[in-house]
Amino acid sequence: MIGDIEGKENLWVFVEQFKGVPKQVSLELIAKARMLADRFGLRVAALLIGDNVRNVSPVLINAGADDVFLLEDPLLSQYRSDFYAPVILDLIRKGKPGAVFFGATPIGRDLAPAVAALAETGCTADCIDLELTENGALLQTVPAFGGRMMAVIVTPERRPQIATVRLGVFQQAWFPEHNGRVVDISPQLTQAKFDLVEFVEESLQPSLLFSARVVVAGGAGVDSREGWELLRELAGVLQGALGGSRPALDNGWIRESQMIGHSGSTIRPDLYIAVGISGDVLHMVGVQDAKVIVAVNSDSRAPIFSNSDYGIIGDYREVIPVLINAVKKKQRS
Amino acid sequence: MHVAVCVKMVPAPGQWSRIVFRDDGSLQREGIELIINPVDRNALEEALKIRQARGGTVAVFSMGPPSCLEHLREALAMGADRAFLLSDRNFAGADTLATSRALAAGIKKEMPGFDLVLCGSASIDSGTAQVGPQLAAYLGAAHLTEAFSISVGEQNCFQVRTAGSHGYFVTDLRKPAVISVTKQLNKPRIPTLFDIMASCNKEIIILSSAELSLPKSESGLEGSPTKVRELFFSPARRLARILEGSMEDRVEELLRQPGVAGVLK
Repeated sequence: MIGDIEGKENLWVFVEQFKGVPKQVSLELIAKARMLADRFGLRVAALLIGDNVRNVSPVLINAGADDVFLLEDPLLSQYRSDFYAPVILDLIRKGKPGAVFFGATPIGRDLAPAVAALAETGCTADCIDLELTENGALLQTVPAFGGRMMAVIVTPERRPQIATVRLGVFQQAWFPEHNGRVVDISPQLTQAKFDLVEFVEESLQPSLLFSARVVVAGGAGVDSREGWELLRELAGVLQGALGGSRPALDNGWIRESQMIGHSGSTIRPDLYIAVGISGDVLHMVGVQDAKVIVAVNSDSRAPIFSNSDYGIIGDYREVIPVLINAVKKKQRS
Repeated sequence: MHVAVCVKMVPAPGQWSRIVFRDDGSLQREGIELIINPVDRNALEEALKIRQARGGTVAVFSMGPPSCLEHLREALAMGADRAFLLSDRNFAGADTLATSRALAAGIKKEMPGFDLVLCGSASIDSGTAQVGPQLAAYLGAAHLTEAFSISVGEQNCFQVRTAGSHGYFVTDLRKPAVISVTKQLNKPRIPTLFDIMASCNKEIIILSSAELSLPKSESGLEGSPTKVRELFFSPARRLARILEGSMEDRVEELLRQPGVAGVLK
């Protein structure tokens, strides 16, 4: 049933869901797969694994999936690599997809490389773009280390081509008229390699970064409590969220969930204000889809200025209070 | 308890601008100062603590050019018993899969009775976080990633806490297992002068692909399913307009720009 479209290298998306709600990144990946598949007459399949998760299927079909491969078992109710990876490997061997996409979440980053190793194929982490060529090659763009470069990675000889993508890199789509089918597959569970004692739910603050229209972020140049209070105030008057770059996290000014950039969050606000951020590519890939980028930095040679729309060269302690007052004034008028 | 620790030597962050790419897409790293990937030190620290509590041995494995030797010396000074450097021209240009295959071969050969493999969750240079899970696949072992607490229980069972998106998992892991650890796990020790002197008697063994029975087709660039097809400079697509005038004028002008003014409404 899953391999019934002979000779086509279809596109699959591993769907992550929590309590019956699919993760945003999974829906974004289905939308991207849909776009790529339509160009070459391929099908998009969503891999839905869990226990009592059938009711997630309609959302996945509306998000763009043609097939929902549904694998249900009480033992699969919580994610665990020792069951999930062999089950997906088994599916891959039967369905022979051209590519499988995973969200670059803690689970996706645990699972995708394991599946790739079992299938002896390539896995490309944290892609910021995916393109498909006529001959089925997946062009996976990743920021190349150290600098101002991007690399296009391919997996020329092995299938499937496995890629992980962070939340917010692609945009979700909605196809209310789209028809899809649910394919029930009974998972062949292998021997457990560990015992999952418990999953302790933590009500983590949902990160406001992803939904905020305005994001104010600080970097290595903001190095005092007073400085961060200024940024917080600016974010407040703009009804935006506060974030930061890698040095801000390393220096303890922000939490992990607030870090923007390649190893943190990818965001797409309408307005991004970067304060004291030098703007290396590893940071900028996290904000490349912001509509407008404003940079405030005292170093006129900082690369951020060529990667922004508007730049103010100056000490943020001087710039930000003027900006706060001007915004307040505009809001009153 | 026999623990293998995998460490990666990465270019020191201040040196990144000096790295260039060769025509085949691999990195030209010669002459660039290397450091032990920071979170890999946490993996080594945890292994040393486990040895302290349960006895056994700690062996460090790394893959890289001969310039990595001095950094393995540092791992020995921290307290590792043995160190192995997988170093061979055939290993050059390896992606995560070829790296994992080689490291797994090294561990199988030199520490066949291993109970645990520890590695840092991700490297600061490429940051894929893939080697832990892929090593486990080659070793036929269980794996966990993002571990922030490890306790060794009875019968060599480990209880591990790992971070997830909506909370954390508590897992009882049987040996053999591969665990990728985070910086929250512990605070790595700094070797004393005495430690450094004592480590001079310890040996670092270099392993070639032939010694690991890995043919060229399964090593390095050739044994890597992923290839770099193209490298390019990220295109500039921003206005890059520097605002001039008094601070008040500059801020006023900024707030007049359509993309900015629209957001204030």
